[in-house]
Amino acid sequence: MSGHGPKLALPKFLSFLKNRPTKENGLVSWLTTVDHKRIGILYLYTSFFFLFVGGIEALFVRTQLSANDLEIFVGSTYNQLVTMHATTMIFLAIMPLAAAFFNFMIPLQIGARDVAFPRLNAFSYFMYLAGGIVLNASWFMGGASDVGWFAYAPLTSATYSPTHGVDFWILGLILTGISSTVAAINFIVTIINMRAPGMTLMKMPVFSWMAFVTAFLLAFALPVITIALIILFMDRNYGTTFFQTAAGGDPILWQHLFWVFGHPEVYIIVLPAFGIVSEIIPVFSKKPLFGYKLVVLSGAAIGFMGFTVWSHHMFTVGMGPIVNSAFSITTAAIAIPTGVKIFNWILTLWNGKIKFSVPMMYATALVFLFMVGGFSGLMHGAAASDFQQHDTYFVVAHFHYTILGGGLFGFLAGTVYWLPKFFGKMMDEERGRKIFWWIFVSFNLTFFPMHFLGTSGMPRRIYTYSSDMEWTALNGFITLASFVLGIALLVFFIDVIKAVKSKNKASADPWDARTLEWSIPSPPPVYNFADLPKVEKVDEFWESKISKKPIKTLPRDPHGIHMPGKSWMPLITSVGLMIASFGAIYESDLRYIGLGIFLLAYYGWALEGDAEYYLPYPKKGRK
Amino acid sequence: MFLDFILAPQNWLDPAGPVASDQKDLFLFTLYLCLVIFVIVGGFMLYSILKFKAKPGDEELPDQSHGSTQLEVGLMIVSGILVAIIAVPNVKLLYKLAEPPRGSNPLQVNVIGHQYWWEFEIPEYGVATANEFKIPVGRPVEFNVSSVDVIHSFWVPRLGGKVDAVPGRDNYLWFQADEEGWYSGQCAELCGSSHAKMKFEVQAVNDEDFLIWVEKESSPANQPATDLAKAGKDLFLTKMCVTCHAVKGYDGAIGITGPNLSHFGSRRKLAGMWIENNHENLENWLANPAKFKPDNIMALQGPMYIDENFALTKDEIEKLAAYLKELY
Repeated sequence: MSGHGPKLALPKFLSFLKNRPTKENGLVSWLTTVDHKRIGILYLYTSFFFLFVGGIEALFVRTQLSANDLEIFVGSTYNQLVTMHATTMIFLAIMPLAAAFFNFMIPLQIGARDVAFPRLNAFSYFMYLAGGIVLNASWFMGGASDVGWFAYAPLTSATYSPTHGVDFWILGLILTGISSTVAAINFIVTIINMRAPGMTLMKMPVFSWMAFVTAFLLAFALPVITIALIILFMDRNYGTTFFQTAAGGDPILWQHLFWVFGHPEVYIIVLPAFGIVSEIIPVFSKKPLFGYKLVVLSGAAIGFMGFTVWSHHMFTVGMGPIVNSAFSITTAAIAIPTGVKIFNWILTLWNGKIKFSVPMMYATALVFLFMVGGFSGLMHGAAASDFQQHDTYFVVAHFHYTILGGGLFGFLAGTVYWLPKFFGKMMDEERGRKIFWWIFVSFNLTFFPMHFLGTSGMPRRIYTYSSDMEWTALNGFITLASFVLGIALLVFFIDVIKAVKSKNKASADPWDARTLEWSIPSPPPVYNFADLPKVEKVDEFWESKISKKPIKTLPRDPHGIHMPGKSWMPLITSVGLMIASFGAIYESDLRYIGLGIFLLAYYGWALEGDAEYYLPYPKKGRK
Repeated sequence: MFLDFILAPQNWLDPAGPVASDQKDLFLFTLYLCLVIFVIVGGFMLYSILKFKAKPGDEELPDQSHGSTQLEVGLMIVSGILVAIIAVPNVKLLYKLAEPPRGSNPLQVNVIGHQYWWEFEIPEYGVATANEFKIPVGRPVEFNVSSVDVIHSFWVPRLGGKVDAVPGRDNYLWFQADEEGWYSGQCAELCGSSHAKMKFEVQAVNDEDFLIWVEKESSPANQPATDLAKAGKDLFLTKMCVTCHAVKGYDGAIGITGPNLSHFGSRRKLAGMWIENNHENLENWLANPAKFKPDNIMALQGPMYIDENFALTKDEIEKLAAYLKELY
């Protein structure tokens, strides 16, 4: 069998590594897909699932805090819930929700057939899933990490956290970190190289622009946390002492590394949501985005300045007045480009003809909620008084207004807005409005009172409090409201699934929108654009509707429509790395097995050969 | 009922000294400024939403304005000015709070964070105690804050903002109490399972009472008077309590892992300031400390809780409690 010619010599049961899969339907087609739209859908559903998990964790936390001196989730158990709530929401729910929209929408918005590296894109998704599995496996394998999502050293050391919880957390985050880094590079290359002819960067839709900025943030911020996590893993398992005071290390080093990643992370969450809002407000106001160029530039400015403010998370570390002043000022300065966005959104509404469809309701709500979170952020930026607010519920209120109010509301808006494109189905308008109001009101009832808990001195992450602290009534109220919010969000997602399963078919352009994704059918065919568009203006699709001239297209390729081939390799490489992670945690031989699988699939990835194929063009005139 | 929080003992908007008071002023200044902008910008937005709602059947396109550079640059300059307006008082206060006022002769207090209790030393008077201490009213107190294990954060909300207790590092913080009274404080950095139970209290008293207190705190512990307490004193040695706890004047009781118990009987509260320091609570605490403070070192490592040979009987607990209560 072997030894003849250059072909890959493999035993028969591994022959599927040689022949690229071609199944179009069923489970195999989803496991081997390289279609950015399917990967977007996978991201969407998986992040919904983790949003549910993180939500349950949040409600457990709220249950324990609903009255003083409760003993439901005590001590370490409570700390595990808090840690995993934050980790799950940030890394497994909100970020991947943005990734779902990036995946589905960027190629459609820039007039491309797929992303630059379709197999790498599938790899990103499976690595995210692998990270989610490793992180949550800890619940069933001796307990999750209980050191908080920012895991301050030296509490994370083997001395103070002897169980494997922190190890699971480290490796889970390294896997999701690889996922995001790879995805970021993929999106950067896609946006730089694959825009439709004529679409200069300054004619690109704002959502794609914000995705572009976010991808750079990811590419620069994630390596920092990945390295920090590797160092921490070595401290815990291989006897290094980077963060161990007694051996000359410095626990504050961890804080710097963590927040150099952690603050850009905030903008990684919020900028995509801003991009969505910047798409929705013009569409439903029937006006172009006011000051397109400044909105784009301010997004880039926010991204850049996001790297200059990390130490505002460390005002109480004892850095001295010089450093604290400097970081106070850089922090407040971010308010300027953020203000630009808010002003431009309002000026887009001004003089418009506003239609309050459900996406618009979430988008305008985001502007209000983010203002609340932004202003409390400005107040934290004043370091001298932040010494009081720091690590209290005032901060908890603040970042829920930014991450939920500024992030999640944008993604809910995006879900309703783009669902027709994702699945070719419309959500029910009347029900959507009702659900919106339930979410909006219960959100504010949950998080606004937390400001008052903060000013009355309740620190974060305490699992209980005594009655003489006078926090009982407010906490009870917040818990009640949080359950309403939880149920309202659950109903939202049930409504999404209901819409997907319904027969409520969507037209290609149900919102009378402006960008290229609406110029093709809902849902788009596998090749997206039968004829690749030529772009001349910002909002090319809108301009073509106004001038009643069709979008110009490129000449057709005589071979047909060029499509990327499916592959097993992204899945297998990810599974290999996941197995290796479990092996590393338990220092078992699984490490070598996992790495072996990874290397084998990596080899297969390089050598599996060309499986690109051509589809026939649809008849002209039919889209 | 929902307004109870205004009376909270850790309400830092009810300051009792110059530091907390300055911080409250800056907080309210930024709050009011932000509220004004919020009302203007938010009001403008609300107005646009209500005013420019599409009328049904109106299909005509509105004016397609693409932007106005002058307007936007103007708005940016205004936001820049607002940012500067906050920066000035903030930086001023940061420098003011960095050190106690010149020539004020502050009282020096060492604060050392432990999982899960606070150690307080006043070197000038030879005082070493835990979780409760007194300061003279009207005199600045400068704290040298550090930790022996993980990062904690030292915070007395009504007297001033917090500073982290970082192992291997000396951080400084000062404040002053202008009114006599008890001030509640709490660890503000997640430090492990019993982070919530790491509370402490400061009592501001007049100079005379302060001197009486330091005099007592710096003198050796009481000798037990009752037979029960005398038996407890022996158990304190045989049950290995002395390896972790110090009692001044008790030979061999020089442990530093746990709180110094020389004047334990005079403390108001127990178990991280959670329960009153009375016989019943003390016995419950000794019987099962993990119930009050999950994963505390005594419960995890104390021989009487992990070694059958050292386990405490009900009788022994009663004796130990009697002894501890007499240490005032």
